[in-house]
Amino acid sequence: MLIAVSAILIASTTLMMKNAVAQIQLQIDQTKAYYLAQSGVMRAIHNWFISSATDTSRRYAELNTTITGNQIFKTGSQANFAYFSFNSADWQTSNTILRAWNIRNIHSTNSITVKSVKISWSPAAPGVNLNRIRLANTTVASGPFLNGATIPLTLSTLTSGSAWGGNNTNLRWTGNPTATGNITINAQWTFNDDSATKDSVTHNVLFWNGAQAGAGLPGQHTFSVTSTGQVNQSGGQAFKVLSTVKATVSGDPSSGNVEVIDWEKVDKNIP
Amino acid sequence: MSFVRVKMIKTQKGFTLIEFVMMIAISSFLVAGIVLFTRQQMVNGLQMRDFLVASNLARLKMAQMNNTAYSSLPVGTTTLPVEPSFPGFAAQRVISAVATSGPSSLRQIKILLDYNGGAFSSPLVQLITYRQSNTTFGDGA
Repeated sequence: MLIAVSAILIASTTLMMKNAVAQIQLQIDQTKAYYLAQSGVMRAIHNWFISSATDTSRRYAELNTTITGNQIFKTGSQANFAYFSFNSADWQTSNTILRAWNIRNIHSTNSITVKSVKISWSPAAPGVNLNRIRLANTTVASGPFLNGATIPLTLSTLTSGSAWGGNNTNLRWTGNPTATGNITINAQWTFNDDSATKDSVTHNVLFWNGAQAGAGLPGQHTFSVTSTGQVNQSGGQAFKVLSTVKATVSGDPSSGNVEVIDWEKVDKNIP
Repeated sequence: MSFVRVKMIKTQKGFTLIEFVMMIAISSFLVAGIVLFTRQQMVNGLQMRDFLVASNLARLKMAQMNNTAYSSLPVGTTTLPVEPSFPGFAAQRVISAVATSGPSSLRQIKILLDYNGGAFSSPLVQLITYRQSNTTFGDGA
């Protein structure tokens, strides 16, 4: 009887200790994975820095880097390669069309395909709706769409290095706009691998009472990068600890100053 | 006569010498096993605590690196100050160049945590990240 009780006691204590050790190791690996994910973000910014100084050819390569034996970082969902430039964006005179914003695929080889966009504007104006979205003179969505709605688009693909831009890439609003002053427009684009950007832009223009031309946001450069740090756990177990960071990067590399303006972290363990 | 003997056997109490010796032997093994097991579990528990503390100290040091200007992170190995509350641990920073091109350079930052006096050859915890020059963390970083 005594032996049986002792055996049960030892077995349960051993199991408890083993689980506690595994839990601590998991925490350590999660921390490692988080900093590996940061490595991927920094690597992407570096590649952005060293690419050509002109907006149209800035890009960063897809990465899959092993730092040491079991520590890896990866970047590379489609949203990583959508590069937005609003340097020449403006409002069509006396109209409610925001035109000449630019989306470029900065992936070195692959295409990216956009499938939806969520657009919101502030301040909201009663009765004003988004009416049409055009990419390179092709209408990919026809409204009306309410402020903040997620709008499905006709699937549109950008091949490597190509871009949508010019006056025929635009957003058109309708309604009876009366408000004046600045307007902030946020656009979040989702691609067909379900990755999404986190881009936003503020246009300092008089808007609803008759827009002014040539007043796009000056010098805005942003891109979103999703990077995953991965730790393959030892002991031959097919078990990975992942930590993903989605960062939005802003600034002008040619000026030598870049800022990570948004940082979102998600942990995941894959058995 | 035989009646009396039967009665004596039935009323016999206690253990025989052999039973007693056997009991002592088994108990000794049992107690020795439990003592050894408990000792090992105490060692495991202390190691767990050390891993946990080292892990948190490494995170702390790494957070400090992210809030240190890039220009103050030169390539090389630096012993970092010991946390006063945890005198049993030592930290080391190893920075190496990953890539350099024009105004841009990328460095690898490695934080190692070991017992105080340890050689960092087999550290308790090691964290690795990169830092890019001319890049800062803004809101939400």
